[in-house]
Amino acid sequence: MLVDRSHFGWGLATLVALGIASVIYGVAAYRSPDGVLGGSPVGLTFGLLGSALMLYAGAFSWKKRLPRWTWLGSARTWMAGHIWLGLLSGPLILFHCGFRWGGMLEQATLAVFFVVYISGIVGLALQQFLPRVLSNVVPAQAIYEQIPAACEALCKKADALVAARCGTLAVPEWHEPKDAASYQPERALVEFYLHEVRGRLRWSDRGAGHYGQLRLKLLEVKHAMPDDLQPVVDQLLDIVSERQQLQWQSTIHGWLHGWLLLHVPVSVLLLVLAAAHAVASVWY
Amino acid sequence: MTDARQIPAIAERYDLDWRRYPNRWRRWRGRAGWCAALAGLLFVSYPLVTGDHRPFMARPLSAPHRLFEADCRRCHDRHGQPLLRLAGVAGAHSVSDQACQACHEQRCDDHHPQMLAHGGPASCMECHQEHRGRSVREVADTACVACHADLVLACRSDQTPHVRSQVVSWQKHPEFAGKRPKDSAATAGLLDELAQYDERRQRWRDRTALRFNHRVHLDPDGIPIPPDHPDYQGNHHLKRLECQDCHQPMVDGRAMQPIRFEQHCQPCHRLEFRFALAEDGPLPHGDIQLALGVLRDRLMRYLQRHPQEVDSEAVDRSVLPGPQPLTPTGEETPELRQARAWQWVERRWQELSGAVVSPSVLYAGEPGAEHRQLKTGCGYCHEVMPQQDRGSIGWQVTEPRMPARWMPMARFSHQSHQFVRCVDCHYDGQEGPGATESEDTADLLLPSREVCLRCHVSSGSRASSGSAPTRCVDCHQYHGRSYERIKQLASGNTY
Repeated sequence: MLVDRSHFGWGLATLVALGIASVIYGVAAYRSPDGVLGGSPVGLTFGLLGSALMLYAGAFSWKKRLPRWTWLGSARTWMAGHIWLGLLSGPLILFHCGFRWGGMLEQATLAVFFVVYISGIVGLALQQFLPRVLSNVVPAQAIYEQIPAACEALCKKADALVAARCGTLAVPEWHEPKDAASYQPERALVEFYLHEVRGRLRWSDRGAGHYGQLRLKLLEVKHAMPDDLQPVVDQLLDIVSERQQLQWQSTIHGWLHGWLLLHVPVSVLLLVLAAAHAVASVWY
Repeated sequence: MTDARQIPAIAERYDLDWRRYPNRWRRWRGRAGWCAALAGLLFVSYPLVTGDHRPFMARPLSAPHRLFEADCRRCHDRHGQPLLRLAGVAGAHSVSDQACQACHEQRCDDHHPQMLAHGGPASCMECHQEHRGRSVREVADTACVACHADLVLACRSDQTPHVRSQVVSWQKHPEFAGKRPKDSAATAGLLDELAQYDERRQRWRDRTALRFNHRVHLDPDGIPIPPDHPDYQGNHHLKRLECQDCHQPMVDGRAMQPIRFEQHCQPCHRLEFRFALAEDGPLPHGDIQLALGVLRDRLMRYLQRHPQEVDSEAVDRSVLPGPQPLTPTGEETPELRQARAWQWVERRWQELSGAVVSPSVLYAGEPGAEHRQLKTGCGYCHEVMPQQDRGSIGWQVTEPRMPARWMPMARFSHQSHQFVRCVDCHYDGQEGPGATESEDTADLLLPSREVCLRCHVSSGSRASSGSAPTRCVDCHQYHGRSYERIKQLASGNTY
């Protein structure tokens, strides 16, 4: 959870700052026949403050790359500032432009700003609630980058489990049993494992839904197995269940961090456009 | 759900060589970030490469300045001014007055220059705001109010304002000078030259030395016109006049063209003589000496065509140059006949020149016709004053001095207001006669502020929906305004 009770001070300070800015903007807009203009002293002040907050929010990603620079403040503080000051930058930028779109560069800058702003809010909402969902749905979480390695380890464990009980993991040739006496449950288990289970234990980007079907099949196989083989099938069920959790974790992790694929590049674009706007405004 | 990991040992669960497992999300984020930065730089540098700086324009230019909108440097000749503004430096504008005056002749100090204590605004940009998507002429009221809120402070100590002080908005605008009681000599100075104040009726009166009856001329049944009038149609000799038959706006649609006798009056009120003297057309209008000279010339030509008229003339021999009035055969000498003719002309001329002012001598149309009601003669419309020192005429037509503009400090477009009737705005006083009922030339048929307020409701540029504009500059002009210039506008010497 990103926003918790420890953010109360940040939120309150943000609201107070927003209130003060709103009053200043309202007075300035009332006094000026054309409203607040970006080039007026009040508008320039709002623009400078908004740009500073945007730069601070952008510096958060650089701060994360410098974990040893503790004198800059903790990551938690930076994250809180990124959230609340980033939220405050929106109204300040709107006050700067007087709720007008401006020219082509300003329109592009504002459009990009809104994309960054809204994607940030969406990301905040996702980061606020999805971790709780993740911890509920995936108790056996792994380090995200090591999920393929964890899958590989699960696969090796399942291999060892089946080989230990059935003797070999060699791929047998399939022969339809002619009678009940010729039916070998170990062979059937190995064959089922190799054809249906083993490939799905390895890492891939497929969805987590088909693991439920696999578990149903394993339950059917379990009932077809003699009593001495059923514990093996039960352990296979647990391994498949953990693999399914890892797949869920990968998917939820995509939701948790996928919005950054939009938020971060557009933030970079915003900084470039804002810098161009500032230079053009000061020069002309 | 409980955590029942199948491989609890970290060493077995993970690959300790973590470099083999990079975060693909982070990697794609980095690549997308660099692409976005590159796209932004391309977007920004394209106008710089092409030289078309329009993408950097915060808001559109006014229409006249769009001619050179691609080249910001054409006007923006000062750089870094926003930083100075932020630092509180007054008058820090990125466009200098020199850049404006490269095309425009107006100056900041050409508004009552001899009166203002501080010489007016510091720069053009103080009032004229560009990049607003509207004309730079649409100056905000605040620019005007800066001085007009207290003209006593704004004016030099030895100068007295000609207009009311403490005007801060259209809602606080005083009643127009011609419609309000005379308050002070200072603010009524210009009006004193155009009108006179009727203390009894508490109303300004038109002092134009001319008689004109609006009610008669705007009779809904029409007025009689002569047979040779362009609009005469057989027996239908009545013409219904409208205001715009005489009051026609200038080419720019603003002020009205001056009323001209030849254009507006002469078609009906021709300066013609009855009987034979009418053969040579009407007398010229405008210069009485010229008219009388033409009259003498016509009398002489008449006499050439009708020499028998002289025979009945008694000769005053005292004026004859020679001692012998008759030839030896008893006939008149040529000198005597010439003297007799000259005396005939002079006598008739004396009679007529004294009677030119009389409606009974000069008139339009033929005797007996209904249009004989159309009266003419100088004295019918003009104020004719006796003046003994002007030789043999003995009278003088007072110059009418009809003001070209009654409200020279204001700009008004009749064309923009053509959707309302003239009589909706033009009437004398609050309860006085309207333009169609006025019988007295002295009625000052000017609109009052109340009339304007019917449509121009709110104040400032941010007019509420449904209100016509109410900015100062919608009616008033800053540049080129001095008291002398305003007097010229009123007299019609300039437009």
